[in-house]
Amino acid sequence: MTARTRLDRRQRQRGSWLVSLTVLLTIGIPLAGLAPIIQGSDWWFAAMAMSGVCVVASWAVRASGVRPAFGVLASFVVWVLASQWIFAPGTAIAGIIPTPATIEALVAGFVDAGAQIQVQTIPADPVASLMQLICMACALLAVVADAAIVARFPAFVGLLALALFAMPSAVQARDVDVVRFVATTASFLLLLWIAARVDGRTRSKNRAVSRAGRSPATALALGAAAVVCALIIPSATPGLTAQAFADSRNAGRLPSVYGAGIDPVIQLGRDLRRTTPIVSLRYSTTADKPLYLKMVDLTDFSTGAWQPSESSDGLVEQLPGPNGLAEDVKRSTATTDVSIEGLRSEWLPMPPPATRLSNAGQGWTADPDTGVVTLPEARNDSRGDDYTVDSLALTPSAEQLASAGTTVPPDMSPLLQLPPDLPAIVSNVANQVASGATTNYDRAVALQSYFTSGQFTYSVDTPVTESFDGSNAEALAAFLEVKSGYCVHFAASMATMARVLGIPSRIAIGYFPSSAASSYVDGEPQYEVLTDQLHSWPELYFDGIGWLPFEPTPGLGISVPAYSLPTFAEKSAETAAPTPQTSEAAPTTAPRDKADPAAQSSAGEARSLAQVRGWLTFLAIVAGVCLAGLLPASLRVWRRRRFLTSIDRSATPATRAWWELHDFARDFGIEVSRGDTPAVFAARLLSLRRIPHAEVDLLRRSVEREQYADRRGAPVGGLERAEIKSALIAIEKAIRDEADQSVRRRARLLPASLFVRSDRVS
Amino acid sequence: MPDSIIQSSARAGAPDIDLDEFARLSGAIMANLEAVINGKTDVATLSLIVLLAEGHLLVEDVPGVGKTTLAKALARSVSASVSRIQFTPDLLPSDVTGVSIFNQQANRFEFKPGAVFANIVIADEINRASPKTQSALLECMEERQVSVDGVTHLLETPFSVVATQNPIEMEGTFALPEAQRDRFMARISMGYPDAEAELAMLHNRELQSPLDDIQAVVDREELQAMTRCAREVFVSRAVEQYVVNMAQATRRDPEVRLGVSPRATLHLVRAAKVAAALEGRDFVLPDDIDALVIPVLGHRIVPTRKSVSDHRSGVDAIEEILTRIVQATPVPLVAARSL
Repeated sequence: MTARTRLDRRQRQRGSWLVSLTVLLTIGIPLAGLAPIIQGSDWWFAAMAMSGVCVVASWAVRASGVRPAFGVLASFVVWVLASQWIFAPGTAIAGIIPTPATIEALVAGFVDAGAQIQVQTIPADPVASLMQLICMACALLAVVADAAIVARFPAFVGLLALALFAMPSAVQARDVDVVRFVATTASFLLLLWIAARVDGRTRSKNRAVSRAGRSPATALALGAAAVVCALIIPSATPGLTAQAFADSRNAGRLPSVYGAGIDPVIQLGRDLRRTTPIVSLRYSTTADKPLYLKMVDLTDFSTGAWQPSESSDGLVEQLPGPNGLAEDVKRSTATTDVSIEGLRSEWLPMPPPATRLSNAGQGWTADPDTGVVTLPEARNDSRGDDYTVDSLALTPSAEQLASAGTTVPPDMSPLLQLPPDLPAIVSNVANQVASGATTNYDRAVALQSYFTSGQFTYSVDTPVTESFDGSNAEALAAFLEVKSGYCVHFAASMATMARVLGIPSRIAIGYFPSSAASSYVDGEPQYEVLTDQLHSWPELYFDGIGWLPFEPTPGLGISVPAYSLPTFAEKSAETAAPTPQTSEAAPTTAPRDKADPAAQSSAGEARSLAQVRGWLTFLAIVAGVCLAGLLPASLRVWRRRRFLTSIDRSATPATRAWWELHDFARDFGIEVSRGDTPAVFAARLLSLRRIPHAEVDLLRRSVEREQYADRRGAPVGGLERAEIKSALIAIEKAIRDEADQSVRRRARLLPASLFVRSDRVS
Repeated sequence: MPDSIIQSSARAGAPDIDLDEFARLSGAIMANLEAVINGKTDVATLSLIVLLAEGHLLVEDVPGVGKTTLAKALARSVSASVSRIQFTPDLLPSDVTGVSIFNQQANRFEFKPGAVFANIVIADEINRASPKTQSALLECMEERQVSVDGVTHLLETPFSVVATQNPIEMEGTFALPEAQRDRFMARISMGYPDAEAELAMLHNRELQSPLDDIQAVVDREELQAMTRCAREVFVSRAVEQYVVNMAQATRRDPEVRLGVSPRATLHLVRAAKVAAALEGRDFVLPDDIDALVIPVLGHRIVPTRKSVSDHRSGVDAIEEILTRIVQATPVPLVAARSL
């Protein structure tokens, strides 16, 4: 064998598993692009593990020398098996044959995953069903990619990679991550190159001339050209970016709170439905109780949907003072240090009304009317920001509230605007509820009482099932009929009804106060704000006092502002010393009717426990299969060693060597018949090209003498044994050298000699 | 018993020879045979094997391919008595064995030995004689004696019948009975010579018959010594087992109506011994057996009617069956237990 052919064979051998590895890379790198969308990294490893097992199964089967199509089949079978073991454990017959129950369980998982995608926000919690979706989809992609390679169509893998790559960009509407793009492309090019090389070699074995278009260099050049185009075109055509698409899709709609291009109100609903809340931000404050944190105000309802107003130029790095606050209203000042964690927002959450913002970096602007702080466009992601806010806590007296009367300053008139097609039910209910109230304040209190009186229930699911998720006028009408919804509906209804009753109103979006501090640093409480604390509440304007928050949403265990309770006037009259109520003063607040979260989370735990068990089973089975797969090889090695040892010790060393040679030949697919005489078998060996004739003859003659000659009592010399052994080894080496790589691999992993009934006599 | 007679008579004769001498003598005979039948080494070898194994040879083929020439060359190579019987439908058994004739002068019956009283008997066109005459050869061939009128006459040693016959499909032939076929150690078929050999034959025989040039290269004693030498070739248990397995396989085979007899097994081993000796080997290999299975067993097997079809003749069927059996019978490789 020449050095060149040996090198070729070695490269071909490496090529085949390199292709498999590159397929994994080409899937894995774009998959990693989902990282900003999904929490943690477990899902990536899980998906890659499952894909890896599928690809390896295909490789192993192909390596054993059977038709490559069987490899694809094997990977698909492994995909099915792994899917049912992990995601539908215990449903298959004998763990192998899928039953309708298996399909049901898997479909249920997918349906749930679909719901999760609807419900969850970015970054999503990879719950069991999402994990199933990611793992099965990714592994299926790997199977398809592998099939594409087998079908000698490696370019198709690029499409799969592209689809995977585009997914996070589409969801987040972000600019393409160049590093990930280059990495994906590089792995794809590598795949093309390796596949072309492997393909080219097998081809050139059969054909003297391989087509120019198939040469690795051409493939690489084409691929590289494509990548360069892909990189240049977007930068050369401004506006043709993912952001541009997102913006055009968003034209005339709301800017985003969390992800781009999604109605913040809908988004809020989704965040509330998260199964596992994550930390949005942390803060510490000098205030004596946890605070509402406001991000944005929805002031404009003229179009039938609550929206932030298209305000004029904002104030640069300066907050407006509290709007319409008279000097005599009692107030206390609090300083709050906020540190943003998971929240992606262009607005900074601040306790309202904020009077001073510091350490918030450069370029922020504040809305002169609402005080909403917007980050500059260059840094529209608030994550990691730390800043300090000074804010006021207003404690108006009952007299001050009462004296506001029904007066509305003229500049507040835009905040009374209603859409022309407001459903009649809204104004009817408003008028009915506030029929006995004379002042704006009384009306407001009546409205809040209406919502918190027990007729309404808090539910994040009802709006979805009743299809009125949102805050537009129709949704409000539906809400008032169904009397079940979440904060958005309560806040929007109260704000709308307030406007009907002549009270300027707006909807604040932010976080409701945490119930307790998560820790204390230097005696100062530290609060964690979770995604499910995302909240909206109405703010109503009272002449001489300014904007006051109300809390119409029941069932969240939120402490209601003391002034918003119907008993406030009496109490303050009694004590004549109104004090802000604290959390225990929340009579209208029903106990959290989210009794189901506990059940939900325990069900979730059970589900993820089952999944852990599934993964463990899967790993155990994979390990078992690997071990079982290595068993024949080790048995064969052990047997060969036994034969070689017996050559040194047996009275019939040549026969032992001959047996070993029989086994070895069987392993390499050389026919060995029980009817073969030594001479016949030797002749068959000698028909191979590289077999050393002298060694075969020596061994054959030794066997014949040993078996058939009259040599009773003639001991076998050590020299003869050594000759026999070296002849055997030389012949075996020749057989191995002569064989194809696939044959050799099969001989090693699945030695055929182990599966032949032995007819040997000792 | 014939064997003991042969052995005792042989022991009384020539001195023992070794394998080298055996090779020299056999080489000389082979040279004679090959001079007569060009390019048919295997046929020549086989006929020599049968001669040295003290068996009887049946040469079967169409007329004119050199059957008789081979038989004559074999006989002439050995300086032994040779007789030739041309079998015809009207040949009487007594023509073969001999007859007692009343000698009026001596006033008693005298035995006139028939043609069978020779070392090598060429029975030409044996299947043209009536079955009765054919069966007269039976006793001679197996027991190497002739009984006429209650008197048993021993035949000479060595004694070998070389019979030729036409295929049974030919006109005026009687099929050889199974019992008689079984007495022949081997049946060989001459086959047509290839073009080159046929051309050479035309040239060589222009002037004279090649048989004229044949000199006896082995005398009777040497032939017996060679026979004895071949008998001493070692047959291992493994090979014996192999032969028995094969014989049993012919009896079990679904395509075979009549399997081989134990005598066939004996013949096979005996022939294999000579074959081994001809190769200068003092032990029998399974390969020796394999090579002799068709000539030694072929004429004894009767295939079922089903296995003989329009597509294959009886002979072809038998060859296929035997080839299959040879391939299927495991060749024992017995190893001593690992020490």
